[in-house]
Amino acid sequence: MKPAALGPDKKLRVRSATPWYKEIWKHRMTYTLLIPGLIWLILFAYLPMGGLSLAFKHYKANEGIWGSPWVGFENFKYVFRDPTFAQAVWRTLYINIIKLIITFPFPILLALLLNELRMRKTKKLFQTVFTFPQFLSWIIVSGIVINVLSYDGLLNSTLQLVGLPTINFLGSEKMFLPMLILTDVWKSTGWGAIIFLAAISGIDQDQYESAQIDGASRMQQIFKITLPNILPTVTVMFILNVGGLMSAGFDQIFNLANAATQNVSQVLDVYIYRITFQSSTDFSFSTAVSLFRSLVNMVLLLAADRVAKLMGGDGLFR
Amino acid sequence: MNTKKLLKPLLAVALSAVMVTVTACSKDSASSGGNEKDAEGNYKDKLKISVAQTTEVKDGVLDNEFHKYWMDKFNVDWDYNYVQWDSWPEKLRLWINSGDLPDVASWNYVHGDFMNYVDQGLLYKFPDDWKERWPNIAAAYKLTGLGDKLEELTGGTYILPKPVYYQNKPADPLVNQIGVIALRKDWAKAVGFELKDAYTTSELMHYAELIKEKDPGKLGSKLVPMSYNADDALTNIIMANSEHSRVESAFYKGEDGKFHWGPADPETLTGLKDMQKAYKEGLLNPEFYTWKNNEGSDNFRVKGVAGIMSLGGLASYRQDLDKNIQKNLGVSSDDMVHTAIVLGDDGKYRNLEQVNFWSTLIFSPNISKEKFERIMDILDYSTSKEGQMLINMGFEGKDWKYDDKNEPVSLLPEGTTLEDKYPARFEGLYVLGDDFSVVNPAIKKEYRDRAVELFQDKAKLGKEGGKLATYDWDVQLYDSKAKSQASFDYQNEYANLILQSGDLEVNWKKWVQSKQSLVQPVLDELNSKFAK
Amino acid sequence: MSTATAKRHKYRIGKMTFLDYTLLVVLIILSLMILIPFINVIAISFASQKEYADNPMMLFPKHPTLDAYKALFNDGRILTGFWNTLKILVVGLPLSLFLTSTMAYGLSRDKFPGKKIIFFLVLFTMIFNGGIVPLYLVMKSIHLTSTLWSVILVGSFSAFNMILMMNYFQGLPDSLMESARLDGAGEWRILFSIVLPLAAPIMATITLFYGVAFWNGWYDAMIFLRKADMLPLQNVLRTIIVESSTNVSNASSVDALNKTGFSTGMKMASVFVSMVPIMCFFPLLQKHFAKGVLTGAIKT
Repeated sequence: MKPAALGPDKKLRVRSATPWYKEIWKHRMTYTLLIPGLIWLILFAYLPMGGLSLAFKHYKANEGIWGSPWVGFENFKYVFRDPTFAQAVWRTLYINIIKLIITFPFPILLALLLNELRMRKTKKLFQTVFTFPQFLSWIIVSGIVINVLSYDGLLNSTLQLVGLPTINFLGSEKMFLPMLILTDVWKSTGWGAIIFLAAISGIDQDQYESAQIDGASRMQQIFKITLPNILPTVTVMFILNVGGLMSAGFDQIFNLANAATQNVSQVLDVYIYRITFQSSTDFSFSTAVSLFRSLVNMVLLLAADRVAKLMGGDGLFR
Repeated sequence: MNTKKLLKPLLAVALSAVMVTVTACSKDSASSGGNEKDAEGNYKDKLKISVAQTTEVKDGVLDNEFHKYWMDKFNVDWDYNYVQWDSWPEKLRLWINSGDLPDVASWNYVHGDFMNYVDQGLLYKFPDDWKERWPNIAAAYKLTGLGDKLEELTGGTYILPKPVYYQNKPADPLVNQIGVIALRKDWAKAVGFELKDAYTTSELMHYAELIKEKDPGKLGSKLVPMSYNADDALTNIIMANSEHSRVESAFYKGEDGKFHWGPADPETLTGLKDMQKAYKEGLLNPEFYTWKNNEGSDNFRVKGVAGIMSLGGLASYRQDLDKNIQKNLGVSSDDMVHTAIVLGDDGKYRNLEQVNFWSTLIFSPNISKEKFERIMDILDYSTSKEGQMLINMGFEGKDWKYDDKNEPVSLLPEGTTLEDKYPARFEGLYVLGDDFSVVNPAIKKEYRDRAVELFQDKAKLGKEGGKLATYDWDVQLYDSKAKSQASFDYQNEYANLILQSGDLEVNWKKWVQSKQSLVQPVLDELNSKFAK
Repeated sequence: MSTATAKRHKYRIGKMTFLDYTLLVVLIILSLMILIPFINVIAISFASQKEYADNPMMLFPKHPTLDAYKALFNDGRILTGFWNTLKILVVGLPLSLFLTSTMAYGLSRDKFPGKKIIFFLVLFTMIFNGGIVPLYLVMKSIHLTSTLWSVILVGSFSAFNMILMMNYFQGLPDSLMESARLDGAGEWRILFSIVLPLAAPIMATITLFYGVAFWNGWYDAMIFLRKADMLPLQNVLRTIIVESSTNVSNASSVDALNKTGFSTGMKMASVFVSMVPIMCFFPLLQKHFAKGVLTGAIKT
């Protein structure tokens, strides 16, 4: 579901003889295509982006964003003084890294399982079932989750019935991360698998045929052909996930956290929401935190991209 | 630059001149204001007034007779904006900051924000003579205390704090209504537990243990001896032992004249210990902290599986409880419910001194004079005796009448309420419903008497050896970045503390320590400003 | 995809081994893990409060009742929510497809001056944004707060979807467009009469993405809308299911506490009711995903 090669084609730079204004005139039709999208971007992305300057200002509503006085890095001073901020940063990274490591292989595994299934109609049916939860909002899922995981819910009642100890999923700090992982796997694995499944279906079938002629078992085929072939897709998905480490999972956590888990659930986005709307501070402060988050996200994305390239992969920006 | 500066006002003057001529041409009698009345005392001009409240007004509700009456009487069209509870602070903050406030809105007063808003001109400043022009509002406003204090700070009126009590104050000193519990009378009899007007937290836990052990309701594992959610537990267990454990008075001036942080007081630990004990013994529900809104009390009033619930001291709560029990359990609540006050383990009574306001009304800084005046006329009427009767009882002769003893009696069919007939009566914008609930004949007399009795008990207990957390105006009206940073959801923090494994005292100390970097700056600031 | 799978199936079909049956069993168990929570939800929505209290793990109510649904529809809010979300979808989907496909096609064209900069401008918005207050101010200055337009407009373009689509367009054979160009067709005509008809898989995918985003969105509506009768479905659901407890601890007012409670049955009924439309549309679009996503995401 995520894009791979984000960059436009990089062709050999040929110094063209035509002057730039002629080039522009030649492509005038193309520019008209871009106008609707650009208007949207200017109105709803770039005009509001001026708001980022609030991070270095003391916001005064009556003077507007532009008129508010500059204060330099003062807002950041308050940000870094707040211990909950640092905790939120580490918690965000901790939750999302562990979540990424644990949940990442599941879609690949499921894709492999589905791919090996030979009944085509059944396969479609399975796909539908597995993909469906992805399209439900976390609001709905939280309704379902509370139903299933609460102390007298479906799962615990079953555990009780077979004589196992019940698990306090919703209200213990220890179980919070496992609960997030569990619900995330439940919701998103099927959808993640679709991408890998699609990648697998793009593999040249001749490779399998010749492997079978050589007498390779199905396991061997998976390891020797399927996995190496989908590796680029895997890399790209991984990079994109790393890039989102700082902002992943707001909806999930916002709708699933409660009093008992508030210490372990205040990730950066929840923190930002709270300081923007609930505690009594100004918007400059929360803008400073958001800016910080975006910067970290960018650094992570670029770093992951670099690592992928060093490892011989394609990376995002070719 | 200079010419530009000059140009702007000139332009504005020119524009308004044009506007005036335009309106003057379009309307014959628009010479002076929009609040002129015709011969019968009706307003001539219809105004569209936008109002934002947390009362949900569904489609079509505005068409009912009640709303029509107000709209006709004051010749207004309501443009009603519904604010969902869970986005109330978010919305108002957004609206105020972006200058998009409706003409009049309910805002949950936050002092730091208030000072900011006034400073930036985001709230409408009342005309100096408003108190003479709208005497009913002024009288109720005076009782809130907050209004006068804020005027000292800002030199004008910017908000109308909503009075909780106006004509019908139940006791003096006024103590917060919280801290009243309901327990199962029938079970108490069955297990031989004495009925009293006040119990210590330990006594209540003893009751819970008794019903857990003897199970008079034959409920087995479904029984929830104390059906408190996190907030209820804070109110009825922690606060009962430590008056400064709540957010309202967490920072307070001690007897030594220095400022302290209540959650670090040893009394708070006493409360926490009780709460943990209750949790570990299974008196509280294993997942009480996940409960929202009325999930806790539903165990009592809907399912009938709870021994104790947090009720609160208003007569209307008791009435609602009665209705719910009647409807869901099919019995009369009078045989089943006993209400009482909660004391600390040392037998002392603790609660908050009640400030007489809850949330405020604010006006858009861009509101026109006509609209402001019209709204004030409406508020003034809603605050009058006649207006209060209308809001709380409906129309005289149709919905209620005076009986031979000159007491108002309801004419509504048995089992229905005014809310059923005229839903969402948000026109009672100013004085809160608490006030009228003390005298409202729609509420059973016994419930009203009991509520007043408990209020008076609280006042008495508080005065005689009890510990009421006074409302410290210095602290409440002090505003700084450090102070706003040091605000916590205490009920969640406490619930969290008692759930942690390991020794509670150690965890509590660790927790206090972890908050120091935010708390200490506030204490330092307060000490340097107000300590002696 | 179809030729490849067909080929493989021809090659492998007819040899169901022990391994295949194990696989089938594993997959059935996995899909039950997905399905059972749903079945439980549906069962509870049809059960009475009492039956639920006695047996929360039921998969089929013994005495099914429509009480929860009656209460839910009598309350009426959920219907208003449906209606508003429908309005958002009807206007928002075409708009978002228009904005996305024009820009994606424009950017998928051969090099032209400014292409890189514009592309970077799009990418940049994926990482940085100005925050909610500035956005609100913009919305206010064009007088769209408190209208459904605000929700529609904010949701009608996503850089991510645009890039997905752009990559797909880049993968289309150039020859078709070239010949159209030689016939004198403008880029707009090429987009609508040649490219889009070829792009069914990606259009289906993107439609679904936008559709789901509109269907599931609540944050923008919470921020921009003002009237109760304007709230979309998810916001209504939030009040029913999540019922966040506002911290009005010093609330001494009756006003603060008169909120309606919802029974578990009603909550589950609302979950089910709001799932149904996705359940209906999802399989229709699903067959296009794989191709759309893959070609959009991984350039070949």
